[in-house]
Amino acid sequence: VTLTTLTTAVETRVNDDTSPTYSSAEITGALNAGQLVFCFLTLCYEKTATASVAQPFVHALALATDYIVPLRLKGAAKLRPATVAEFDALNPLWWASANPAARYAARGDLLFFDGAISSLTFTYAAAPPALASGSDVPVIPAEYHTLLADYAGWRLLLPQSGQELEKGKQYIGRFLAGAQELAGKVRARSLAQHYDTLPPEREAFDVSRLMKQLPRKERPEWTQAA
Amino acid sequence: MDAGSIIADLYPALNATTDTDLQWWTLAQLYDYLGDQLAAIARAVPIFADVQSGSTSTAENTFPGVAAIAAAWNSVALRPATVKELEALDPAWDSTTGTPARWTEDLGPGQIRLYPAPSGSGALKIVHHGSSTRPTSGSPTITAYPIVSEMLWYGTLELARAQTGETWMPDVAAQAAGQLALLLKVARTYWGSAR
Repeated sequence: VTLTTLTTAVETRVNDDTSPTYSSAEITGALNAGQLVFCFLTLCYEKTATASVAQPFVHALALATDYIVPLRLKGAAKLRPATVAEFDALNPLWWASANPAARYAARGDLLFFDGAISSLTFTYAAAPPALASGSDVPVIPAEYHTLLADYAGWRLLLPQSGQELEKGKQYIGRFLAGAQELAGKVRARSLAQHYDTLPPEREAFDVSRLMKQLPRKERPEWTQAA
Repeated sequence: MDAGSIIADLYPALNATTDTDLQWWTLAQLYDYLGDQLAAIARAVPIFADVQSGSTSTAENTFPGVAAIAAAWNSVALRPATVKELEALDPAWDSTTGTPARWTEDLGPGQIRLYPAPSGSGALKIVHHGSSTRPTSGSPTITAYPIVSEMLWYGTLELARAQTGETWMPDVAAQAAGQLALLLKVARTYWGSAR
């Protein structure tokens, strides 16, 4: 599904007689935000890169600006995930160790290695490239493309408050249900691939806070029935 | 990422097209909201983890952040300890000198103390959760994960619409806060907690 098709799908969701109209730049921005959030929630878009590492640590965002989490790191052989505390316990001299690295530890975007590593091959979950021209196609699986129109619809309707916001809730509910479904599939595949980071469990997709109505007394006066 | 782009993306949500037709807020106010939320996100998840390297000869050392994760003296890992443990180990722990073997963070945020206090100069590395300088219209660049831009979009919208007065939209603020909370919850499963 192309950006042009998705833009039309968003217009269908948000425009009616009483709604404001939205510019194509606003709609494209909302679709790109949707694709970014979808990739973040599902880890469905992955890339592999190589880099040379001179120190026992490196900022992954300096190697790849679209980095989200590590999936598989390889030096001379596959590196096993660990923590800095485990490095300290196993070998207090790891900061200057000349042995080939066997483990890595991730903290934020920092990647630490417990030994020397000259060339790093790392597979990581990535943020998607932005959709810009009308023929651009999202990088997420095709059967989930229309969910991006749902997210964009929600993101455009949310700031309108009142009934527009209420209308948008069905879209964010659908988007998150689809993300949860794909995250489950990616989890199963990642376990089979022996990846180091998995998409979140279903509890992370708890939308109860988004779906609940504000208590009557906290709602603006004009939204309350006479 | 550019804080200016995030704020520009928010104008339609605030019924404006540029900063000059923002009716109820100033541009500086929006940067303030964004800066507040960026600091809150950095306190929740380690988006600005870093390593501070330098030479020191003092026991007490500071770092630009909220919590230390690990430390090394002359490339030898130091063991973390509490003041209670150091007192049990050595009643004169705060005046003992030698080669540092442990570090404690109990003195306060952004500060660690080495034990024993170094008897000479050495190379100290501190792995820590850092913080970012507040973005301004003159210096809008933020180096962080791409998803942080979406977190900041919701966070800034939340604070703008939580402000009481003509702009007050508690339902919008609550929904934006809920969306931010959901993204932070997932971020914690990926990157851990910054506490």
